[in-house]
This record gives sequence, C-alpha cells and structure tokens, in this order.
Amino acid sequence: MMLLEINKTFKRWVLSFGLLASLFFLTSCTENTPIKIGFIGGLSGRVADLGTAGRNGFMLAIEEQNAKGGLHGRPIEVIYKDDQQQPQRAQALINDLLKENVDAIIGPMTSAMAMATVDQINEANKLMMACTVSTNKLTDLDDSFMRPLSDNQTHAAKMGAFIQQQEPLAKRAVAIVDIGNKAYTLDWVEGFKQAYESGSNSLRATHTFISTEDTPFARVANVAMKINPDLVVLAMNAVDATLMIKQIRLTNPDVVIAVAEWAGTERLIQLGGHYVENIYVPQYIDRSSTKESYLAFKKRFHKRFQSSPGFPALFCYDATRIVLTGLSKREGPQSLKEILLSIGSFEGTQGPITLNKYGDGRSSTFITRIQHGRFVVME
Amino acid sequence: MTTKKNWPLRTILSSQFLIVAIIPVILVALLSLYLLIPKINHSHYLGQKTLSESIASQVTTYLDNAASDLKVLASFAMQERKLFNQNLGLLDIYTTNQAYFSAIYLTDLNGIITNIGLPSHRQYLRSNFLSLDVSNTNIFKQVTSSGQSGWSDVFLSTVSGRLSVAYTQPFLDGTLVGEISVEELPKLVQNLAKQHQVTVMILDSQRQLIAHPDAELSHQQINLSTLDLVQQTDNGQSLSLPFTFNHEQLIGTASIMPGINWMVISAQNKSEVEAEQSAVYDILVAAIFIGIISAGLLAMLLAREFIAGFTHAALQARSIASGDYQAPPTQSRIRELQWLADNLVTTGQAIETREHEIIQLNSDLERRVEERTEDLRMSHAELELTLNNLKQAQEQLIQSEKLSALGSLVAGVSHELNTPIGNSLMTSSTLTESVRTIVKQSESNQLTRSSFDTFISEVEQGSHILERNLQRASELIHSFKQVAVDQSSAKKRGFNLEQHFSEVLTTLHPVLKKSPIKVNTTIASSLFLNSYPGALSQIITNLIQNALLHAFDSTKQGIITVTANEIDTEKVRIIFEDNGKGMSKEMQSSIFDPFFTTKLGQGGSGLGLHIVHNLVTNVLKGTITVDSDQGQGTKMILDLPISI
Repeated sequence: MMLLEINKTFKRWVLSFGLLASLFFLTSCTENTPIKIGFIGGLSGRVADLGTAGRNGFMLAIEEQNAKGGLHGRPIEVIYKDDQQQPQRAQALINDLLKENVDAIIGPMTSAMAMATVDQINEANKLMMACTVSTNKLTDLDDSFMRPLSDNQTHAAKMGAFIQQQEPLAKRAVAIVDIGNKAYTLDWVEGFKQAYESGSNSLRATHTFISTEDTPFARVANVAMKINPDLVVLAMNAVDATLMIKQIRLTNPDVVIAVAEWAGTERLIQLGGHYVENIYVPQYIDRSSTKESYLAFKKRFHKRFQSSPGFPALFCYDATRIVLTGLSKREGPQSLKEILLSIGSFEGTQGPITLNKYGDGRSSTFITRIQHGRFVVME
Repeated sequence: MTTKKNWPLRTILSSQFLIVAIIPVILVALLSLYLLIPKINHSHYLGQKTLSESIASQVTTYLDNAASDLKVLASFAMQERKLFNQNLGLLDIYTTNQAYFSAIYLTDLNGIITNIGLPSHRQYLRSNFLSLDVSNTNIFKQVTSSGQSGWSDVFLSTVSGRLSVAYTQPFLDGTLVGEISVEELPKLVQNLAKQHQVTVMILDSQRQLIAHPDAELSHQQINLSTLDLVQQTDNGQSLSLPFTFNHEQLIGTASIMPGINWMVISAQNKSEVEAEQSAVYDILVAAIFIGIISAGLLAMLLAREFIAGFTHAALQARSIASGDYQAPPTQSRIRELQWLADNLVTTGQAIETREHEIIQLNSDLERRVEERTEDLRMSHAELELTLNNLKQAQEQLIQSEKLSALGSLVAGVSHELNTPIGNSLMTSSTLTESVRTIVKQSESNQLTRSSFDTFISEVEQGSHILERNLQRASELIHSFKQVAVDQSSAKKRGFNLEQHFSEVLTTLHPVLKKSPIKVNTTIASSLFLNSYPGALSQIITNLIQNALLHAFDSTKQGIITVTANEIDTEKVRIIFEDNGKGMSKEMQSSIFDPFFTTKLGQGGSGLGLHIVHNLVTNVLKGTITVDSDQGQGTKMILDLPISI
C-alpha cells in the first residue's frame, strides 16, 4: 500500500512536469464498485460433473455480461464455492458468501445442499437462485429460494406414467437411490411410484446407498437384482448410474432401466458405453430443440468449453440470466426477490421461463432414450 | 527606456538551480520508464519463463517415466501372456508397487475392461469396474482412432474418482491403460509456490486448470481458455501478460509442454512485480527530493554570499555617491566580487582626485570672474561719467535749441509785424501828406470840391488800410504773446484745442506762406483740454516744421493734415499726417533719439523730435508713435490725456 502511494506520488510528480500525462492519467481512473454474485455447487470429486457443468453455464452468462460492460457499468465479480456435496461444508460456504455480502447466490446444484442451506439464506434474506434443485420440499414456499424449473412431482410423475404406458411388461420394479441426496431421490421415486403403480405395476423395493468413491456399486446392484425385477429405477448421479447399470446389465441384459434426470448428463453416455443403450432418461431440456436461442447457446458454450451443454449448464445459464435481469432493474428499496417476482416472465434459452408467486419456475420433462450413444427424445 | 522586470537574486538562483537539479532527474526518469523498467519486466519474464519451462520439463519427465514403465510392463507381458491372467493379480501387484499409476487395466477391442489392477486398498471394488464399457471415453477413442500409444486429456476417473490422465497403448487385441492421478501436481506446484513465491498453474490440453497452489481449485476443471495469456501462448507467442484469476492480479508467462499439449503458467502477484518498479520510482522520487533540497540549499548559500557581496558593493557605491571615498573594500572569496569591490575603491579615489581638480578650477574661475567684474565696474563708472557729460551737453544743446527757436520766433514775429506796421506807417505818412496838401489848399483856398472829395476818399481808404494792418498786427502780437506766455509760463490751463491750433498755425504762417505745403486741420471745435498749452504749441510747431523740413522734396506740393478726435472721455488722439516721402522702419526706430537727424549741417539740430517725445511723454503724459513707410507718407499719432 505504501509502495503504491509512493508510486502515485511519483506519477503525480511526473504529471506535474507534463510528461506522459495522458499515459498515467488513464491508470488513475477509479472503477465502479463491482456487483458480487456467489456460485455454490459440487465442483470437485468423482461426481462433480453436475456442478462443473452448472458452473460453466454460470460462468458463460457472467462472462457474456461482463463483456457487455457489466451491469450499468459495474463489473460483475464472482465467488465460486465448492460444497463437495457435503451439507456442513455447504452451510459454512453460504456463511462465507453472506459475509462477502454478495448480491445474489446461484446454486446449489443438488436438493440436499439446498435443504441444508435454505434456512440460512431465508434468515439473511439473500436471494438464492438454484439451477437444478427440484425437491418437492421447497415447492411453493414464500422464501428467498427460487428456481427456474418445476419440482420432482411434475417430472417424476411424467416418467412414471410414460413407463406405465410404454413398457406394459415392466410390472415388477425396484428402485436404487442415493440417499446422500435424499431430498431429491426419495421425492423423485415417490413421484414416480405414484404415476407408475397402477394395475399390477408395483415398486417392490427401494435399495439405498450413499455415494462415495468406495461404494461397492456391483454388490448394491446384485442385491437389488435378486428379486429379478422387470424394471429398475435409478435415482443417482451419472457416474454412479453407469457403474450401477453395468452391473444390472451383466445380471440381466434385458431389464428395463429408467433413471432420474440427475443422471441425464453427457457423462452417462461417455462412461456407460453399450450398457446404457435403451435406458430411459427424462430430461429437463429438449435436446432435440431447434430453437435458435438454444442452438446459439450450444454453439457459444462449445466454443468456450469444448463440450456440449447439458441441462445443468443450461439451467445455470438461464438462472444466472434471470438474476442478472433482476439486478439490472434494481433501484430503490425493492429487494431482488420482489423485482424478480414483479417481472415474472423471463427469456429462457429454450423459451420463456415463468416464475410463480413463490419464485418457482415451470419446466417440462422430455423423456429420452439412449440409442446409439445419443439421447433420443421420445416424448 | 523600458525597464525589464527584475527578480531577487535568491529567486533566480533557486529557480535555475532547481532546473539544473531537475533536468537530469527527468532524463533519468524517462530512461527508467523506457529502459530500466522494461528491463526489469523482461527479467521477470525470463525468470517466469525459465520456471515454467523447468516445471514443464519436470512434469514431462514424470509422465515419460510413467509411460516407459507401462511400456516395459507391456513388452514383458507380451512374452508371458498368461501373467495377465486375472487370478495371478500381476496388475494389482504392479499397480500397488510402482509409483505412478492409480489403476492399470486391459480392455478388449470393444472397450470392455477385461482385467484391472488396483492398489490393494481398493481391490475389493474390482467388480465395480470389471466389464465396464469405456468405448465411449476419449481415452479409448484416441488410441483406437490413431493406433498410437499416448497420453489422454485429463478426465475425472470413474475408477479412482480423481482427476486423472491415462497413458493408453495398443496391446494385443485390445488396449493397455494406465491411469495416473494428477493430484500430485497440485502438491508440486504448491512446493514451487513456496520456494519461488510464484503461482504455478498447469492446464490440460483443453486448458482446464489441473494444478494450482490452491488444491481446491485444482479439482474444479476450471476452463481458462479465455485468458489472454493462454490464447496468445496457444497462438505461438511467448510473452508476459497480466491477468486476473481467483480475485488475484497476476503477471505470468506460459510454456506449452510438447507431446501432451499441457500448459504451465508461472505467475507472480502483480503488486509484487510492481513493487520493484516502485523501488525504481522511490529512488527517483528520493533523487528528486535530494536534488531539490540540495539545489535549494546551494542556491541559498550562494545567494547569501552573492547578496552579501553585491549589497556591500552597493553600499560602497552609495558611500562614494554621498562623498565618502574612504569606505573600506569588502573581502570576498569570489574573485569577481573582490574585483568589483577593489574597483569601487579605485573609482572612489579617482572621483576624489577629479573632484579636487574641479574645486581648484572653480576657485580659479571665481577669481577671474571677480577681476573681470571689477574691470566692468570701472568701465561702467567711466561710461556713467561720459553719459552725464553727454546729458549736460544735451541740456546745453536743448537750451541753445530753445534759444535758437526763440530767435527764429522773434525773427518770425518781427517779420510778421513788419508788414502791417510798415503798411500802417506808409499809409499814415501818405495820409499825413494828403492832409498837408488839403490844408495847404484850404489855406490857399484852392481847395476844390473835387480835391476835397479825393482827399476824403484817400483818408477813408487810408484809415481803412490802417485799421486793417493794425488789426493784423494786433492779432499777431496777441498770438505771439499767447505763444510766448504759454511757452514760458508752462502753465496748466484749460483751452480749446481748435483755437490753440489756429493760434499756433498763425505763428507758423510766415514759414508756411513760403512753402508749397498746405496744412489742413480737422479738429472738433468742442474739444477742450486741461493741459499744458505751451508744450503742445512747441509740439505742433516742431512736428510741422519737421514735416516741412524732411517730408517733402523742396519743390513739390504737399499737404499736412492734422486731425484730432476724442478716443474716449479720458483721451484725445491727434494725428499729424503728411503725404510726403515717408521713412524706413530703421529710421523710425531712431527718430525720437536725441541728435538724430538726416540733415546734419543743414540747419537741423537733431533734437526736434526728441523734444517732442520728451514733451509728450514727460509733460503731457501721453504717448507718441510713428507710422510710416518709404513713399507712403508719415503719420505721427499722439494720444494725450484730456486732463492731467
């Protein structure tokens, strides 16, 4: 600091002699105070694909906005927090962000983390716009939590109904769920079950595990397969799903497999190989969309990250855009939440995103099936 | 003369010293800005470049060693294929015992993992990974498409759960893959960061961050392809650029690792780099201060010395100016000032010497003036004496002139009276004769009537003649008497101007009668003066005589006109004007001077007009002026007070 001041003195001295005046003048301009936005998600570890993809979507939105000169001339500063899918860690990180007095928080990526931190942000009255949190437990609450997508009830029910109609032979089902994120997985399976169970269709058992690098997936799968089900429903992340599906297929190559949206990332196909062929994967996004805004987004994303954007990237991108829109309209005493609710409808990458009065968005579910290493939209 | 604005010596010296002190500093500043600081920056760049290259080579060596390890394993296994039988657990042993690989596995041509070696603490998870289909992974695609062994991009390993890089080589009817966790890299760069106080970052071929001193960041697959430094380095440039990462302002240089196309960035905190520049700035600022202060002090000291010298010189000059030539010279160590002081002393002495000479010269001069004055006084006395003599002579002359005038007056009177009296005498004698004749006739009774009538006519005629001549004589005498009385008595009285003129002109009648000149008078009869008529008579006489004598060539006809008018209630103007030959201006200036005459030796005394001037000014208290020109006649103008 001292050096800096002497440096300035020197500069002033140079100025006073009229030398290089313009050169130094430029450096002494003051900048506008930046707008701070925090991002929280699982950015490291073996199942970080959701978090890093979401982070990339967020990053792209911020970089694009900053390239346009920020918000009303104020640059946007971002603070990334890696919750590593650990609730206590997430709570500490949210505290950090609140201490930093960020203007808004984007994230987290999973329902478990959202449930762990929602009280903190409600208490602090700080807007948290989640990207992909779909637990029913946060549905229609007048709180500081918002999300651009519908809850599990909507999504899982559609999947259940679809299987019930399209796979009439799949009458005996088992579910395997990661209860590390039970706010999501159990919700989802429950939603699925209600739509699926009709007639003789029945979800016989729900097997649980907690995802770690030491989880014996093969053994979990083998146990689940013991009752010889027609349908296996998986609610877990993509990496775990591939390991699980491999084992299921080795046991029974013909069993119908349906996974929750969580696993519907690019990694599922990458790591799954031929084992994931023909499994059903519901998607929050329409991968077959030919909407210009979606194609342009895909192109920009690919240019930036050399990979295709999955749903986490897209939802984080849209969530960030929504928050930026709100921040750009902010003036006076209105809170960001009030502004967003008063705006209501936003331009999304795949069409307009409408927030209800509780700040929950509404999204569709697109059922896809993996065929020849690609997600093919069925419905 | 315009005076230039001047300043105190102190100001001039200080400002010029400042300029002298500052110019080199400015030059040094410019040199620093354009030479030294770029050089410092360049040395930073070189340091960072060297570091990043050395790290790149360390990492390359590490990976090369791992790759050659795997190759050794492969060639060994080629010879003893059954060694890869799952039950023998050779891959497990190898994975557990060597330093590099976190997993080594074999796949068939379809990408199905057929055998996998895991470190002992993870071997129970083997079934998780056996039979996995890796055909969609980049690792497998890379080796099957090229048929070449090589390193993969960094990926999040399903097997180890860590960011890993895999060496893949074709092996029999499949591939042999060895995964290395890149977790060691953050430790490496952490150590480097501590050793060199630099931030070392390693990016994979997609420019994702895989190693950073902050290990947490190493695992987040942050894509840094948008950094200027990364892009420029990828474009083949080698340079040092500032960038911001994780809220830190850094300046760094990047090197690309050949083969695996990773990038090593070696960066320093921008403020630390700038601290060195700041040191240069500090030195410059210090130099400026030292320069300014020393220049100021020096200027002050010098100024003090100069001012003392100059002030003393000025005081010395002032003493000299006030006449004190003995003011002692100041002592200065500045030769020029000393010279000035010495010269002032010399100047004082020179002035003193010259002053003495001037005083001497002055007294000489005064003496001479006195002598001359004495001479003048004497000649003045002489002149005064002469003047008195002259005045006496003049008086005498005037008296004699008066006598002469009296003489001529008497002669004129005699001459005038002579005619009527002679006529009367002759008539009376004729009458006497007639009476005698008549008496005789009567006595002789011869008296006839005709003779008596003749007698009576003669007597009547004779008595008439007598009466007329005696009348004339009487008039003359009256006039003379009047003139004489006036001239002699000089009595002031009231008189009629016209009448007086008439009387005076009567006395001049004999002269005028003989002359071809006529005198016309135009005088208002109402003019009365209370003055000295005698003096006026003399003036009229002199002016008319003077005109007769000088104004006309003897034979020509001429007219003298006398006019008199009141100027105001106080004054009367009398003008004697002739139509004679006039006179020059030069002559006019002298005519009232005594003894001025143009007819010297022809009867003129040169005093006529002088007397006139005297009488007019001294007796009648008036003025006389002459107005004349050659050939234009002469006008004598007398302005006289009506009453004195």
